[in-house]
Amino acid sequence: MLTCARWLEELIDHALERPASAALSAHLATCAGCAAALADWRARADQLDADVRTLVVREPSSNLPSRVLAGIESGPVLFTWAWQARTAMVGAVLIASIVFVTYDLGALKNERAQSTATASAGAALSQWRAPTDVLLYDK
Amino acid sequence: MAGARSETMGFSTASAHSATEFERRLRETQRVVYQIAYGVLGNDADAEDVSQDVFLRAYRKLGGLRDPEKFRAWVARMSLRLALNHQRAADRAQRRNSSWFQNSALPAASAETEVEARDFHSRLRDEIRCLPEKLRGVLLLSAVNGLDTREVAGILGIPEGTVRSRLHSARKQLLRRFSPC
Repeated sequence: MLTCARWLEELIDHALERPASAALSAHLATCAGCAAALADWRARADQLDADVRTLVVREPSSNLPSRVLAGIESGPVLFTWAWQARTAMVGAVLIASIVFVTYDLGALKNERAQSTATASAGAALSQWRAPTDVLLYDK
Repeated sequence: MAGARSETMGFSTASAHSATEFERRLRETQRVVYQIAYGVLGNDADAEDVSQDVFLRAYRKLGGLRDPEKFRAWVARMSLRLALNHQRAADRAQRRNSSWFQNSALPAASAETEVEARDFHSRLRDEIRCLPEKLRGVLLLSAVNGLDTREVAGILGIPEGTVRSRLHSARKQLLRRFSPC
């Protein structure tokens, strides 16, 4: 089966039920290869549609309604996974904030203590006299 | 139970009637809800959990549903959204679901034919999962028996023309992937 390359896209579109342009219709009337290819694409498309439908042909279990109704009976569902995920996330953010603030305050405190110590050391240093200073200046 | 339900029922003022009404709608729509979830997730256990979650949420939020006639579209939309969320979470955890083949609805045949069919369906499912989410949603909803273009458009909140266009793109992409050329 030989398909004219320039018509391929339009041929597939037409196989998927999109109306053919006048040009494609004219071409199909004269090209046996493309006409055969169109029939082939249509058959493939039909088969694929049927296959996709089989993926969802499924019946729920007979006790689905009773499970739902039992869930309603037991009250609001507070502990769903979404609720748990949200709670965990809020908790994590809260803990991270506390750790950050505590660390930040600790660092600030240390910084202040250090600057106080530096200042008092500087003051002490300015008062300091070497033992020989007495000999040099106290005369 | 009727007393507990009465506060959220938007269908009717009489609680006993409302409880019956919710149950009736649950039974009417359970198949659509389940098939959408199953189409996305591909296994019974997850589809069942998502379906149950859909109806419990629907019950809790029922007061917000102004038009009871839209119940089916409403729960169908919830099913698609929750199933996709569920799948994303599963993907993130890189949990490969191997139960797709269990209790499969494929026709009984020789072992070889069955294996081939399973391989094909597995590949088809993988290819569908590779489609962009917008195309995948339309494709799966359209495959559910009983949902026409108008209903799919209502579920997704998009124009019918967009549904047709997305369905065309999804089918075309799949067709190209399953064709030799």
